[in-house]
Amino acid sequence: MEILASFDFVASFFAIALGLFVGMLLGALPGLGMIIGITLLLPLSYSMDPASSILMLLAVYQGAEYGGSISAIVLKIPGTAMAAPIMFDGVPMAENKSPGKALAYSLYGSTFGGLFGGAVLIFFSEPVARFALKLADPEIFWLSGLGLFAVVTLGGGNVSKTAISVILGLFVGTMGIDLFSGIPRFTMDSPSLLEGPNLIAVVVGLFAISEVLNMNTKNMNLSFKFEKKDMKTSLTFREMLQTVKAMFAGSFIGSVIGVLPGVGSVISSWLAYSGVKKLSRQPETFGKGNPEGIAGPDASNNATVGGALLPFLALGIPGSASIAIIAGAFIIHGITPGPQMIRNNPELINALYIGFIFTTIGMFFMGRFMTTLFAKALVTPNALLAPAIVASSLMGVYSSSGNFFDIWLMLGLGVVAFFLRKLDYSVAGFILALVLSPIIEKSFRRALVITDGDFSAFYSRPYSQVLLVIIAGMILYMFYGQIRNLMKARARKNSDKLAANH
Amino acid sequence: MHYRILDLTVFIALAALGAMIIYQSYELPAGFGGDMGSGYFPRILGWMLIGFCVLGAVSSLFSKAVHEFSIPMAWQVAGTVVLMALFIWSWSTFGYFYLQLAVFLFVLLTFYRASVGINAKSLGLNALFAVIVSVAFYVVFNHFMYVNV
Repeated sequence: MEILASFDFVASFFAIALGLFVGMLLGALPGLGMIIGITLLLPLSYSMDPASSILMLLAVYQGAEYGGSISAIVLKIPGTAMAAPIMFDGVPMAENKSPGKALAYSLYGSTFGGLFGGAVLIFFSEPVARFALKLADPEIFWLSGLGLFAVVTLGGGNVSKTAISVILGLFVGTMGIDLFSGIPRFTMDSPSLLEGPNLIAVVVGLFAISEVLNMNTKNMNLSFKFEKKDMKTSLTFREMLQTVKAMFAGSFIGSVIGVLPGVGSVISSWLAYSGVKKLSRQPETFGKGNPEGIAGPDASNNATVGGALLPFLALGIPGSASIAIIAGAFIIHGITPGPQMIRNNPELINALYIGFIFTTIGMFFMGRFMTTLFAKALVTPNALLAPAIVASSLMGVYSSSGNFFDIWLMLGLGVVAFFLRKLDYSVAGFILALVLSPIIEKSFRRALVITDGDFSAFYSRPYSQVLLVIIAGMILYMFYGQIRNLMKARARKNSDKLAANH
Repeated sequence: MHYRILDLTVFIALAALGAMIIYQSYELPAGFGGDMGSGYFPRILGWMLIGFCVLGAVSSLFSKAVHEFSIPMAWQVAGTVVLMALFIWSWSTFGYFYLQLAVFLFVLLTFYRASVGINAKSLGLNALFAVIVSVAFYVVFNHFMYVNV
């Protein structure tokens, strides 16, 4: 009862409903997705209470995970990268049985995964936060860096370019007044940069504006077509029971992967698909419309949300770009996530726990009754979406600061990000590094102040050593992957040569 | 443009940025009592930036992949950027945000729909879309978020 008293139902209800609607809609629209949704709603945080604004952004995250499956099943185009494995069984089921049934398995899986992830968050946040209090600055430094190392080594992109993106993010994070000395750094004598670049302008520019420019490279008037029949998203109790094992397995995989920094739902949904297939009694029916192949990966996608929130709330360290943008809502309200918040701000934490569960339940009902509407939205051509996103971005950035400098910054960064994305640089790595930069620099410098400049503090403590071993493992894994790819390419070249000679 | 040339140009530009960061970091005051000073962390980043640019440039030079860098429908991308810049300039100079927003949206939509054909009906629909979106933004931002534009 005490927990419920700390929850503002009315404000949170509307915030969650808005977040879910935007999340499902943008998740369903191919090419947009969760990060754009979170980015566009982030500026609204200024006029909301902390709990409602954070829940709204979490609702976007949850909703987009399910929304991505709508286009994967209905259009055969995954709305989000993590919805790709859903297509293997979702599309055959939609064609042979009914799209509504496939969407229902996806929705039930998402809901189960969301609740599982929520339970993980609720039961493990406090123990993890208690453990975090034992960590000193060198460990915080390595732990924050872990996510960045993961993005560079496990991200699958060009290593040099991802590393450069991360370094640029860390550098931009140092702009503004130095908290140690009070001296402005790299501000180019502009008062608008004294507090560092406006996070909302940076995020909106990098994600929303660059995506609008990216839309412009394709036919803006193309609209998808689909048949609006059998869209009823419901399952019988027996049908649901058939997939419980898959949903459990997917949720477990999703939660574990979600906790790991820098990995995220894309990897978790693929791992869940192969894991569920191995556990299934009918693995031979996978790829032919097996419901477990839909419910398992979808459960995994939504379970990563709770898992990803765990290190953020308990340690104050965002592990992915989406969580880094959600961290913006905490920054806007002057809240520092981490063990101190869990100990000193129980009302907010309780509100987030309850709200997270309500978000998942809300997603279920919104999915049950509005999936057809979201599917209909898929026919909207980019020619209509792009101007709406531009207008929303302009208003959002202006409402966050009332400063035209930030609007120009948004446009400039959007153009730069558009080109850098084309050249394989990582915008997600940049944002994650930008948000982590103050934590990394503060822990680095404070550790050196405490030890009077002794660098051995970074490798002499047991926790640091464990983290260093994990980082070394990531680097070795990256080299192993590159050598394997090189050998595969050579083998392919040799077999091509042999085939040509014959 | 050749992808490798563009790649190398960007690496050189980023390495120059790294050098500038290092140079500027030396102008920041040194710390005391174990603290390395305000410029120490950015200086490390500057060196790392140069290091990874060199690494990237070397791997780009030895890469066997040869392809051209092109942006499909570049004119549409450039048009969008120019229209946005004009709108921001006009808004910051003359004000009247919602009125200008409606005009901007109408122009942008007409620009995007031009390939489908421009006639009185399509112009009317574009104008209707622009007005609806602008009114929706006015209601949400002025009456719910109290943002005075």
